[in-house]
Amino acid sequence: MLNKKGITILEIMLSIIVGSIVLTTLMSLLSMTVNARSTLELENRLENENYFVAKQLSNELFDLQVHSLQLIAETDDYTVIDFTHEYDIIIGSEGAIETDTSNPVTYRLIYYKTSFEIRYGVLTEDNQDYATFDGPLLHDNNISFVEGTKFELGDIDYNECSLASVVSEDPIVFQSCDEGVLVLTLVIAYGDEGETETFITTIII
Amino acid sequence: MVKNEKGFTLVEVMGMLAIITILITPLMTTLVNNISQNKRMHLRQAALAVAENTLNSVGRLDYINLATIVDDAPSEVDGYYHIELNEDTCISLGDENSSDVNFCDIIFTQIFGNNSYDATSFKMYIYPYYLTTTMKNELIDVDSSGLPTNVIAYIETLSVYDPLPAENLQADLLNVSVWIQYDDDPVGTVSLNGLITYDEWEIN
Repeated sequence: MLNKKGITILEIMLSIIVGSIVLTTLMSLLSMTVNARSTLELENRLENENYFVAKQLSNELFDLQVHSLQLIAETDDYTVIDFTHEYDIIIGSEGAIETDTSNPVTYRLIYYKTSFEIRYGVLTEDNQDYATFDGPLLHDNNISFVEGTKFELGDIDYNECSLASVVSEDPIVFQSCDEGVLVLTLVIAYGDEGETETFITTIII
Repeated sequence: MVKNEKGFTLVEVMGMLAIITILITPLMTTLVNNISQNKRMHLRQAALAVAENTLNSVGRLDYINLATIVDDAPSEVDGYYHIELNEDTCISLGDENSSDVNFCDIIFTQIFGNNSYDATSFKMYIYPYYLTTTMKNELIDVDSSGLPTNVIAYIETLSVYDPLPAENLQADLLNVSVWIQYDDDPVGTVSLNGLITYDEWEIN
Protein backbone atom coordinates (compact mmCIF):
# COMPACT_ATOMS: atom_id res chain seq x y z
CA MET A 1 0.00 0.00 0.00
CA LEU A 2 1.36 3.40 -0.99
CA ASN A 3 2.18 5.82 1.80
CA LYS A 4 0.09 8.92 1.14
CA LYS A 5 0.89 10.77 4.33
CA GLY A 6 3.58 13.06 2.83
CA ILE A 7 6.00 14.85 5.11
CA THR A 8 5.25 17.12 8.00
CA ILE A 9 6.60 20.63 8.47
CA LEU A 10 8.61 19.31 11.40
CA GLU A 11 10.31 16.74 9.16
CA ILE A 12 11.13 19.41 6.59
CA MET A 13 12.55 21.72 9.27
CA LEU A 14 14.56 18.90 10.74
CA SER A 15 15.95 17.85 7.36
CA ILE A 16 16.86 21.49 6.55
CA ILE A 17 18.66 21.83 9.89
CA VAL A 18 20.56 18.56 9.44
CA GLY A 19 21.38 19.43 5.82
CA SER A 20 22.62 22.89 6.85
CA ILE A 21 24.87 21.46 9.52
CA VAL A 22 26.35 18.92 7.11
CA LEU A 23 26.78 21.48 4.30
CA THR A 24 28.29 24.11 6.64
CA THR A 25 30.79 21.60 7.96
CA LEU A 26 31.77 20.51 4.46
CA MET A 27 32.03 24.09 3.19
CA SER A 28 34.18 25.12 6.17
CA LEU A 29 36.44 22.15 5.53
CA LEU A 30 36.71 23.07 1.86
CA SER A 31 37.28 26.74 2.61
CA MET A 32 39.89 25.89 5.25
CA THR A 33 41.74 23.62 2.82
CA VAL A 34 41.69 26.21 0.03
CA ASN A 35 42.89 28.95 2.40
CA ALA A 36 45.62 26.72 3.82
CA ARG A 37 46.80 25.87 0.31
CA SER A 38 46.82 29.50 -0.73
CA THR A 39 48.68 30.62 2.42
CA LEU A 40 51.14 27.77 2.03
CA GLU A 41 51.82 28.71 -1.59
CA LEU A 42 52.37 32.36 -0.72
CA GLU A 43 54.64 31.56 2.24
CA ASN A 44 56.51 29.11 0.06
CA ARG A 45 57.00 31.70 -2.60
CA LEU A 46 58.26 34.31 -0.13
CA GLU A 47 60.58 31.81 1.58
CA ASN A 48 61.93 30.71 -1.80
CA GLU A 49 62.53 34.29 -2.90
CA ASN A 50 64.41 35.03 0.31
CA TYR A 51 66.44 31.84 -0.12
CA PHE A 52 67.19 32.68 -3.74
CA VAL A 53 68.38 36.23 -3.04
CA ALA A 54 70.35 35.45 0.15
CA LYS A 55 71.96 32.28 -1.23
CA GLN A 56 72.78 33.80 -4.59
CA LEU A 57 74.40 36.80 -2.96
CA SER A 58 76.29 34.58 -0.52
CA ASN A 59 77.57 32.35 -3.35
CA GLU A 60 78.48 35.31 -5.56
CA LEU A 61 80.48 36.94 -2.76
CA PHE A 62 82.27 33.69 -1.93
CA ASP A 63 83.12 33.10 -5.61
CA LEU A 64 84.35 36.68 -5.94
CA GLN A 65 86.82 36.18 -3.05
CA VAL A 66 86.25 39.63 -1.64
CA HIS A 67 89.36 41.43 -0.44
CA SER A 68 87.62 44.64 0.58
CA LEU A 69 84.08 45.84 1.16
CA GLN A 70 82.84 49.36 1.59
CA LEU A 71 79.59 51.19 2.20
CA ILE A 72 79.48 53.73 -0.64
CA ALA A 73 76.18 55.50 0.04
CA GLU A 74 73.25 55.32 2.43
CA THR A 75 70.58 57.83 1.38
CA ASP A 76 66.78 58.04 1.32
CA ASP A 77 66.89 56.59 -2.19
CA TYR A 78 69.73 54.10 -2.19
CA THR A 79 71.95 51.77 -0.23
CA VAL A 80 75.14 51.15 -2.18
CA ILE A 81 77.85 48.66 -1.19
CA ASP A 82 80.98 47.73 -3.16
CA PHE A 83 82.83 44.41 -2.96
CA THR A 84 86.30 44.30 -4.48
CA HIS A 85 88.47 41.39 -5.52
CA GLU A 86 91.95 42.90 -5.60
CA TYR A 87 94.28 40.12 -6.72
CA ASP A 88 94.51 36.53 -7.96
CA ILE A 89 96.95 33.94 -6.62
CA ILE A 90 98.94 32.41 -9.44
CA ILE A 91 101.89 30.07 -9.95
CA GLY A 92 104.83 32.17 -11.16
CA SER A 93 107.40 31.21 -13.75
CA GLU A 94 109.67 29.72 -11.06
CA GLY A 95 106.80 27.65 -9.68
CA ALA A 96 106.39 30.00 -6.74
CA ILE A 97 103.02 31.27 -5.54
CA GLU A 98 102.56 34.92 -6.49
CA THR A 99 99.84 37.56 -6.52
CA ASP A 100 98.54 39.01 -9.76
CA THR A 101 97.05 42.46 -9.19
CA SER A 102 96.47 43.20 -12.86
CA ASN A 103 92.76 42.36 -12.90
CA PRO A 104 90.99 43.80 -9.87
CA VAL A 105 87.23 43.72 -10.13
CA THR A 106 84.52 45.45 -8.13
CA TYR A 107 80.92 44.29 -7.83
CA ARG A 108 78.28 46.75 -6.69
CA LEU A 109 75.11 46.02 -4.73
CA ILE A 110 72.37 48.66 -4.87
CA TYR A 111 69.04 48.61 -3.06
CA TYR A 112 66.63 51.11 -4.60
CA LYS A 113 64.39 52.32 -1.78
CA THR A 114 61.80 53.92 -4.05
CA SER A 115 61.41 51.26 -6.73
CA PHE A 116 62.05 48.43 -4.20
CA GLU A 117 64.61 46.70 -6.44
CA ILE A 118 67.96 45.08 -5.72
CA ARG A 119 70.67 45.05 -8.35
CA TYR A 120 74.09 43.41 -8.18
CA GLY A 121 76.69 43.47 -10.93
CA VAL A 122 80.14 44.47 -12.12
CA LEU A 123 81.09 48.09 -11.61
CA THR A 124 82.56 49.71 -14.73
CA GLU A 125 83.52 53.22 -15.75
CA ASP A 126 80.20 53.58 -17.56
CA ASN A 127 77.77 52.56 -14.81
CA GLN A 128 78.97 54.58 -11.82
CA ASP A 129 75.69 56.53 -11.61
CA TYR A 130 73.42 54.82 -9.08
CA ALA A 131 70.23 55.72 -10.95
CA THR A 132 71.35 54.11 -14.20
CA PHE A 133 73.37 51.24 -12.79
CA ASP A 134 72.85 48.33 -15.18
CA GLY A 135 73.69 45.41 -12.90
CA PRO A 136 71.11 42.63 -13.23
CA LEU A 137 68.15 42.37 -10.87
CA LEU A 138 68.77 39.91 -8.08
CA HIS A 139 65.14 38.77 -8.09
CA ASP A 140 62.01 38.23 -10.22
CA ASN A 141 60.20 41.25 -11.62
CA ASN A 142 57.01 40.49 -9.69
CA ILE A 143 58.82 40.55 -6.34
CA SER A 144 59.53 43.78 -4.52
CA PHE A 145 61.51 44.54 -1.40
CA VAL A 146 59.38 47.08 0.39
CA GLU A 147 59.92 49.54 3.22
CA GLY A 148 61.89 48.03 6.06
CA THR A 149 64.33 46.26 3.76
CA LYS A 150 67.89 46.98 4.86
CA PHE A 151 71.44 46.07 3.87
CA GLU A 152 73.75 46.70 6.80
CA LEU A 153 77.46 46.12 7.15
CA GLY A 154 78.80 44.93 10.50
CA ASP A 155 82.40 44.71 11.64
CA ILE A 156 84.09 41.44 12.42
CA ASP A 157 86.78 43.01 14.52
CA TYR A 158 85.84 46.59 15.29
CA ASN A 159 89.17 47.25 16.96
CA GLU A 160 90.93 46.91 13.63
CA CYS A 161 88.47 48.24 11.07
CA SER A 162 85.07 49.85 11.36
CA LEU A 163 82.88 49.87 8.27
CA ALA A 164 80.81 52.70 9.78
CA SER A 165 83.81 55.05 10.10
CA VAL A 166 83.72 58.11 7.89
CA VAL A 167 87.18 58.76 6.45
CA SER A 168 86.26 62.02 4.70
CA GLU A 169 83.28 64.41 4.53
CA ASP A 170 81.62 66.03 1.50
CA PRO A 171 81.24 63.71 -0.19
CA ILE A 172 81.03 61.22 2.65
CA VAL A 173 83.45 58.32 2.22
CA PHE A 174 83.21 55.35 4.55
CA GLN A 175 86.08 53.15 5.67
CA SER A 176 86.70 50.01 3.60
CA CYS A 177 87.60 46.80 5.44
CA ASP A 178 88.89 43.43 4.33
CA GLU A 179 86.14 41.55 6.17
CA GLY A 180 82.72 42.12 7.65
CA VAL A 181 79.21 40.80 8.03
CA LEU A 182 76.45 41.74 5.61
CA VAL A 183 73.08 41.70 7.38
CA LEU A 184 70.12 41.41 5.02
CA THR A 185 66.69 42.37 6.30
CA LEU A 186 64.42 41.56 3.39
CA VAL A 187 60.77 42.61 3.59
CA ILE A 188 59.40 40.77 0.59
CA ALA A 189 56.10 41.51 -1.12
CA TYR A 190 54.72 39.30 -3.86
CA GLY A 191 52.46 40.62 -6.65
CA ASP A 192 49.44 42.73 -5.70
CA GLU A 193 48.33 40.57 -2.80
CA GLY A 194 49.86 42.94 -0.25
CA GLU A 195 51.21 40.12 1.90
CA THR A 196 54.73 40.72 3.15
CA GLU A 197 57.16 38.68 5.16
CA THR A 198 60.40 39.78 6.81
CA PHE A 199 63.52 37.61 6.63
CA ILE A 200 66.86 38.28 8.31
CA THR A 201 70.05 36.68 7.03
CA THR A 202 73.71 37.26 7.87
CA ILE A 203 76.50 36.67 5.37
CA ILE A 204 80.09 36.55 6.62
CA ILE A 205 82.41 38.16 4.09
CA MET B 1 3.59 -1.44 -3.43
CA VAL B 2 4.84 -1.34 0.13
CA LYS B 3 7.36 1.35 0.93
CA ASN B 4 10.18 0.60 3.34
CA GLU B 5 9.49 2.92 6.30
CA LYS B 6 12.23 1.56 8.52
CA GLY B 7 14.83 4.28 7.78
CA PHE B 8 18.49 3.73 8.68
CA THR B 9 19.56 1.63 11.58
CA LEU B 10 22.23 2.84 13.98
CA VAL B 11 24.64 0.23 12.60
CA GLU B 12 24.15 1.55 9.06
CA VAL B 13 24.79 5.13 10.14
CA MET B 14 27.89 4.07 12.07
CA GLY B 15 29.09 2.11 9.06
CA MET B 16 28.66 5.13 6.80
CA LEU B 17 30.56 7.34 9.23
CA ALA B 18 33.34 4.77 9.42
CA ILE B 19 33.63 4.66 5.62
CA ILE B 20 33.71 8.47 5.38
CA THR B 21 36.35 8.61 8.13
CA ILE B 22 38.46 6.01 6.33
CA LEU B 23 38.26 8.02 3.10
CA ILE B 24 38.94 11.43 4.65
CA THR B 25 41.72 10.42 7.07
CA PRO B 26 44.41 9.66 4.43
CA LEU B 27 43.54 12.84 2.55
CA MET B 28 43.89 14.99 5.65
CA THR B 29 47.04 13.11 6.71
CA THR B 30 48.57 13.76 3.29
CA LEU B 31 47.76 17.46 3.58
CA VAL B 32 49.29 17.72 7.06
CA ASN B 33 52.36 15.71 5.95
CA ASN B 34 52.84 17.99 2.95
CA ILE B 35 52.76 21.05 5.19
CA SER B 36 55.28 19.59 7.65
CA GLN B 37 57.56 18.30 4.86
CA ASN B 38 57.47 21.70 3.23
CA LYS B 39 58.43 23.34 6.52
CA ARG B 40 61.21 20.82 7.06
CA MET B 41 62.56 21.44 3.55
CA HIS B 42 62.89 25.16 4.27
CA LEU B 43 64.55 24.43 7.62
CA ARG B 44 67.01 22.10 5.88
CA GLN B 45 67.81 24.69 3.21
CA ALA B 46 68.56 27.26 5.90
CA ALA B 47 70.71 24.85 7.93
CA LEU B 48 72.70 23.89 4.82
CA ALA B 49 73.24 27.55 3.95
CA VAL B 50 74.54 28.27 7.46
CA ALA B 51 76.79 25.19 7.39
CA GLU B 52 78.22 26.17 3.99
CA ASN B 53 78.80 29.74 5.09
CA THR B 54 80.56 28.41 8.21
CA LEU B 55 82.90 26.19 6.19
CA ASN B 56 83.58 29.01 3.74
CA SER B 57 84.64 31.36 6.52
CA VAL B 58 86.17 29.14 9.22
CA GLY B 59 89.59 29.33 7.55
CA ARG B 60 89.90 32.87 8.92
CA LEU B 61 90.50 31.57 12.42
CA ASP B 62 94.17 31.70 13.27
CA TYR B 63 95.41 28.30 12.07
CA ILE B 64 98.42 28.03 14.36
CA ASN B 65 96.32 28.84 17.43
CA LEU B 66 93.64 26.39 16.36
CA ALA B 67 96.12 23.61 15.51
CA THR B 68 97.82 24.07 18.89
CA ILE B 69 94.51 23.83 20.76
CA VAL B 70 93.56 20.71 18.78
CA ASP B 71 97.00 19.24 19.42
CA ASP B 72 96.56 19.82 23.17
CA ALA B 73 93.14 18.16 23.21
CA PRO B 74 93.05 15.01 25.36
CA SER B 75 93.43 11.80 23.37
CA GLU B 76 90.58 9.35 23.32
CA VAL B 77 91.17 5.64 23.92
CA ASP B 78 91.78 4.98 20.21
CA GLY B 79 94.01 8.04 19.77
CA TYR B 80 91.17 9.86 18.02
CA TYR B 81 91.02 13.38 19.40
CA HIS B 82 89.24 16.58 18.55
CA ILE B 83 87.87 19.84 19.92
CA GLU B 84 84.23 20.82 19.90
CA LEU B 85 83.21 24.43 19.38
CA ASN B 86 79.79 25.93 19.88
CA GLU B 87 78.28 29.24 20.92
CA ASP B 88 79.27 28.64 24.56
CA THR B 89 82.83 27.37 24.01
CA CYS B 90 84.26 30.03 21.67
CA ILE B 91 86.09 31.45 24.69
CA SER B 92 88.35 28.37 24.58
CA LEU B 93 90.03 29.90 21.50
CA GLY B 94 91.71 32.69 23.44
CA ASP B 95 91.23 35.78 25.54
CA GLU B 96 87.88 37.50 25.69
CA ASN B 97 87.54 39.96 22.77
CA SER B 98 90.40 38.35 20.87
CA SER B 99 89.89 38.17 17.12
CA ASP B 100 89.29 34.41 17.11
CA VAL B 101 86.76 34.54 19.95
CA ASN B 102 84.90 37.43 18.25
CA PHE B 103 84.89 35.63 14.92
CA CYS B 104 83.79 32.35 16.49
CA ASP B 105 80.86 34.18 18.13
CA ILE B 106 79.90 35.64 14.76
CA ILE B 107 79.95 32.18 13.20
CA PHE B 108 77.64 30.70 15.83
CA THR B 109 75.20 33.62 15.81
CA GLN B 110 74.59 33.43 12.07
CA ILE B 111 71.01 33.71 10.85
CA PHE B 112 69.58 32.49 7.57
CA GLY B 113 65.99 33.38 6.74
CA ASN B 114 65.20 34.01 10.44
CA ASN B 115 66.64 30.61 11.42
CA SER B 116 69.35 30.60 14.07
CA TYR B 117 70.71 27.79 16.23
CA ASP B 118 71.72 27.49 19.88
CA ALA B 119 74.75 25.78 21.43
CA THR B 120 73.07 22.38 21.50
CA SER B 121 72.01 22.40 17.85
CA PHE B 122 74.98 24.04 16.08
CA LYS B 123 78.44 22.60 16.70
CA MET B 124 81.76 22.39 14.97
CA TYR B 125 84.19 19.50 15.50
CA ILE B 126 87.83 19.99 14.54
CA TYR B 127 90.25 17.08 14.06
CA PRO B 128 93.84 16.86 12.86
CA TYR B 129 93.89 15.50 9.33
CA TYR B 130 96.84 13.33 8.33
CA LEU B 131 97.34 13.17 4.59
CA THR B 132 98.38 9.75 3.31
CA THR B 133 100.48 9.24 0.17
CA THR B 134 97.54 7.68 -1.67
CA MET B 135 95.24 10.57 -0.85
CA LYS B 136 97.86 13.15 -1.69
CA ASN B 137 98.44 11.53 -5.08
CA GLU B 138 94.71 11.61 -5.76
CA LEU B 139 94.50 15.27 -4.83
CA ILE B 140 97.45 16.40 -6.94
CA ASP B 141 96.19 14.50 -9.99
CA VAL B 142 94.39 17.37 -11.72
CA ASP B 143 92.31 15.00 -13.85
CA SER B 144 90.72 13.22 -10.91
CA SER B 145 90.62 16.00 -8.31
CA GLY B 146 89.73 18.91 -10.57
CA LEU B 147 91.43 21.29 -8.15
CA PRO B 148 92.92 24.59 -9.35
CA THR B 149 96.64 24.48 -10.14
CA ASN B 150 97.57 26.88 -7.33
CA VAL B 151 95.80 24.67 -4.79
CA ILE B 152 97.57 21.59 -6.18
CA ALA B 153 100.90 23.42 -5.91
CA TYR B 154 100.13 24.06 -2.25
CA ILE B 155 99.07 20.46 -1.56
CA GLU B 156 102.39 19.26 -3.01
CA THR B 157 104.15 21.05 -0.18
CA LEU B 158 102.18 19.20 2.54
CA SER B 159 103.65 16.35 4.59
CA VAL B 160 102.31 12.81 4.31
CA TYR B 161 101.83 10.38 7.18
CA ASP B 162 102.42 6.68 6.31
CA PRO B 163 101.62 5.04 8.65
CA LEU B 164 99.27 7.33 10.54
CA PRO B 165 100.85 8.71 13.74
CA ALA B 166 100.07 6.76 16.91
CA GLU B 167 99.89 9.82 19.12
CA ASN B 168 98.92 13.47 18.92
CA LEU B 169 100.93 15.24 16.26
CA GLN B 170 100.27 18.69 14.91
CA ALA B 171 98.99 18.30 11.37
CA ASP B 172 99.28 20.51 8.28
CA LEU B 173 95.55 20.15 7.78
CA LEU B 174 92.57 20.31 10.08
CA ASN B 175 89.29 18.59 9.31
CA VAL B 176 86.30 20.76 10.20
CA SER B 177 82.94 19.11 10.59
CA VAL B 178 79.92 21.39 10.94
CA TRP B 179 76.86 19.78 12.51
CA ILE B 180 73.44 21.43 12.72
CA GLN B 181 70.25 19.91 14.08
CA TYR B 182 67.40 21.89 12.54
CA ASP B 183 64.49 19.76 13.70
CA ASP B 184 63.54 17.88 16.87
CA ASP B 185 63.42 14.69 14.84
CA PRO B 186 66.95 13.17 14.96
CA VAL B 187 66.95 12.77 11.18
CA GLY B 188 66.64 16.55 10.90
CA THR B 189 70.37 17.22 10.86
CA VAL B 190 72.98 18.35 8.35
CA SER B 191 76.69 17.71 8.56
CA LEU B 192 79.30 19.17 6.21
CA ASN B 193 83.05 18.57 6.22
CA GLY B 194 85.96 20.60 4.94
CA LEU B 195 89.71 20.95 5.33
CA ILE B 196 91.54 24.06 6.41
CA THR B 197 95.22 24.89 6.42
CA TYR B 198 97.50 27.85 6.97
CA ASP B 199 95.65 30.92 5.78
CA GLU B 200 98.86 32.78 4.95
CA TRP B 201 100.24 31.41 1.70
CA GLU B 202 103.92 31.79 0.96
CA ILE B 203 103.59 34.61 -1.49
CA ASN B 204 106.64 35.87 -3.32
